[in-house]
Amino acid sequence: MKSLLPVRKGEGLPVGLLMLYLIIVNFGSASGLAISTSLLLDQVGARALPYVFVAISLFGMLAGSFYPVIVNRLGNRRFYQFFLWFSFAILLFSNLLLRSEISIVGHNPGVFLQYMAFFVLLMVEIIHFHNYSREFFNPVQFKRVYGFILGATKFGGIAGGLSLGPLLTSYSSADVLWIWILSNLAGAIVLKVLEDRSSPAQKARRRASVSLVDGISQGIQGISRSPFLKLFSVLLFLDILIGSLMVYQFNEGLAHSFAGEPEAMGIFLGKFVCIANLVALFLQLVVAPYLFTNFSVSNVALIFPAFSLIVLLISIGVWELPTVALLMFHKDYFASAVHLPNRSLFLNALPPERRGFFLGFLEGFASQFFNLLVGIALILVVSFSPDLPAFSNLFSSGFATSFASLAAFLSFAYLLLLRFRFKSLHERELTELLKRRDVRALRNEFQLSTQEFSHFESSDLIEFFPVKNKELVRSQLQQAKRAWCVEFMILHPHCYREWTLGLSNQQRWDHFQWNSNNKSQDYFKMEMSDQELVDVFETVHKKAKLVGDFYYYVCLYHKRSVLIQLGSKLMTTTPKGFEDLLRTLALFQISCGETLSRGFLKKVFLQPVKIQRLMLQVLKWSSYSRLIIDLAPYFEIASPSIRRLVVELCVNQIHRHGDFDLLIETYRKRSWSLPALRTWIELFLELDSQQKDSLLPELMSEFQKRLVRCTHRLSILKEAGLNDALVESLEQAQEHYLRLILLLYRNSFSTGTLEILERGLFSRQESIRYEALELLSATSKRQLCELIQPFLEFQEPSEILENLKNLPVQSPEVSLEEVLAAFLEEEDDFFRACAINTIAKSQLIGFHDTVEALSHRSGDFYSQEMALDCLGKLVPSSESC
Amino acid sequence: MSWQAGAFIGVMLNIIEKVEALAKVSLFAQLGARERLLIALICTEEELAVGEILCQQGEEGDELYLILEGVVSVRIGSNEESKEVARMGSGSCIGEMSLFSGKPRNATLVVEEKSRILFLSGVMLHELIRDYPQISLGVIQSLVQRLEG
Repeated sequence: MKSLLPVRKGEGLPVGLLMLYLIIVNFGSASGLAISTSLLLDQVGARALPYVFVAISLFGMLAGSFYPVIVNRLGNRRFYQFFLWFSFAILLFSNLLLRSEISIVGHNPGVFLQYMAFFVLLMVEIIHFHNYSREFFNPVQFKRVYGFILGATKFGGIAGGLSLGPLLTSYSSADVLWIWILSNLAGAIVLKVLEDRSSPAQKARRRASVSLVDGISQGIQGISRSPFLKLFSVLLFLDILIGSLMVYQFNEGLAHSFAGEPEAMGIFLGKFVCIANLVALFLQLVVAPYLFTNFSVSNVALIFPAFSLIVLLISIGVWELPTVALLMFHKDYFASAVHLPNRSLFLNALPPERRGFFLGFLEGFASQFFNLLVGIALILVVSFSPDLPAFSNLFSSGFATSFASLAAFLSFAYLLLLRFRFKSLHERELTELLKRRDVRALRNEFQLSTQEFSHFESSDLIEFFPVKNKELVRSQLQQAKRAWCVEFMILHPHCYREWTLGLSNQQRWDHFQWNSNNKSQDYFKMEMSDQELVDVFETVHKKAKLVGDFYYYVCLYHKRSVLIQLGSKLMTTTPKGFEDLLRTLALFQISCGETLSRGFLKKVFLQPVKIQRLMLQVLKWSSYSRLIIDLAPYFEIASPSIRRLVVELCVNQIHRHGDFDLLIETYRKRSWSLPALRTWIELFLELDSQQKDSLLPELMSEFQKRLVRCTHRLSILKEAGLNDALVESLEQAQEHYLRLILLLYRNSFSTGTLEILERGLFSRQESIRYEALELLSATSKRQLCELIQPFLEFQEPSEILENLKNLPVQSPEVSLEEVLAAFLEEEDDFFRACAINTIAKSQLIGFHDTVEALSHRSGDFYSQEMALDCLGKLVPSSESC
Repeated sequence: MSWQAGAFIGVMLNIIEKVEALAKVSLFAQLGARERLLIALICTEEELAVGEILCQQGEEGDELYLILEGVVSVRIGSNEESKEVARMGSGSCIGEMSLFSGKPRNATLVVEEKSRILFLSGVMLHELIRDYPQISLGVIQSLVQRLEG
């Protein structure tokens, strides 16, 4: 039972009290709706409804406009108290009017006032309850529990509906309405208790104080500037148009069915409210959470118009009380359980500081404005349209109803189309939201202007040099020192070549002389043949200072042929001149054969990272076909930039030599460590789609298993009370696996989105993580969402395991000793070293022989040293005594 | 390998213990264990006798000292008239800022009790950061937290 509830530890009190509040308030309003509707229809009939709608819209617009201003002044909590006391006062007043003999144009004003009050107060209640309850939960909690909390409205409705029949047979309508009036006071007390007992999970965001007019103009401007909000407003308008037509229709149906019988209509409505709430409760508690967690917001939004279409088609064919009830249920109850909570989730694509404002503006002011427009249109249709001859059950009631059905039908067809366009817009808006806080995305948009650049001489900025400005390139290279020039040469080879080709021999020689060793004058001349240069190399290749000059001369004078002539002799270059050799080879993109390539690979990973990078760049043009096998052991190197180059190199090799099978064979040959796996995936993702398709599902399932296993091991270690490097590394590994799994989906996201999403999901800032989760769920990657969410939401591995759906633990280890033994056998030398450390610390002498065996294992980076250290610390109990 | 042989080994920290010890340095608190492993590889551990001077006030230095065991006295003033301003025990870390500031030492550090110290050279750390930029990110995060704190 506990696992079925979405409520987690620490959430019980706010969830419970908010639900209690909703039960009380909805118990009251269930009787309020039924009685006020029956009284109104009895007095004026359905034909007067458009006028009432217009009045409701006007009051609603007023309330919607004042809402953000008052909330801003009072804050969420004080506003709620104010609102509930105000509701109490207005309902009391209308009840007193109802009891009085006062009559305007033959009708009691209390009947209108309380009917209108119901809708206007309900509108404010819905908006504010959403904003208010957000204060007690973080966004993920909120998304999980909000639907559950709203389920309480149905409990209140069922109780209210059940009690209405017996109450109306014993008391007058006006007396029964006391329940509605007093429910506001009881609700205020419950909220007070909640505020006293629980602290808010999030600080309520308060905007700078704005006037009523400013608020409206800001809202309109915001909508007109954002395509997303524009389309959202259109959806809202269509929702309201269709909703109003449905309300008109079922009220017309009710008036026909219960003409002159207000009490019978009240009792029917009571029963209807009770049954509808019961079904809606099921929808809210079972269906809605399933839909929200398994489908994206855009997909769930399609359900409402789709069902509306079905209901409307039924209503055209059969126009009887069950059809009326179905329409009412769909418009009021299904919408409140699924459609409206889902609609408000769309606004999560807005920045947090604008979310509350637009929720209030759109659901409050704009929706009432649309209501007003629709109401006026309905008045015009009802007042001035001629009656059409009847040609179906439905159409028998005249033009207004038929117009309503057709308009609803057409609008929903349009709405369906609109939803599809809205989906992509919603995703784009969420990506933009994350981008807004993503440093790398911001940096990429930043461009150094020529003016800014001319003030910098740092080589760090060469990457951003405005190479299109040829004049700046020429003047900068002409006066720059050699170190700067060679750096430039590597980063912008085409630009450098273009510059050298534009120089005269004299200019080249001057530049060379200015940038070379004094002794160079003895070896180099303004003009030299290839053979002369080959001879110079033979003389200077062991002289550290001069060999650099040799390579710079080759670059400056474009002597590619000299390098080809020298071939494998180039490997005799003194180590200090190695960097210059590599730069020169990279500039001319010389294809190295097997000897040179293997020679480089032997040296590459012993060099500093900068030289490694250059060397890998040179190997890009290598003709050696089995380069991948020699590169694979270096996939786990810690530097990300080197790993990226290795991937580029391998992809290049596969494209050139078509060695896909060799690649797979190399991958399957052994079990790879975490950093190596990342390199492998990056490599696989660069392959052709056919090659990828055969591999990625296999990798996905493998990583999922590894992730679950890693979490399971972590839970065992934590249960054993460990908190050492092994635990920390496993926690890090969990994140690594999640990133790897995410990486497998790279091609299903638009360029750059996955990187932004990844940084968002693993951000240290909670709010950014939630925004990233929202984007992930909007992209309909259900499997990915289900997998990642528990890791971001829960801290304890045991809790995470409980919440990992469809991923059973397939780990044979059940004790600390078994986990440690498993680590000792695995490929990852860091884990092995950590495990040996844990064994030594925990004095697990049972591992003595295994550790001793490891101490003899050569070629292991850390384990041998760790094993020796561990053996020194493992003291048998008798000796330690 | 016999049980007794182990007694000669294990006085010094092993590589994983260094990784764990570095977690105590607030500058590296934001780094993961694998990143700290890279730093641990360039750390050296030394045993110092009473009276040995770790560094002199005024001299340039870019080393970080993590006291693993023992007591180090922090003194200000010239050798003859130096005044003890603090005593640092095991787990204390001295010179975090000098890793990056390059300013002269503002105090003299003298070993008061036989100590074991983990040294980290600024120059080597800079080299490491150049090759593994992910380390600098963690260091920056720690510095920002300190500035905000």
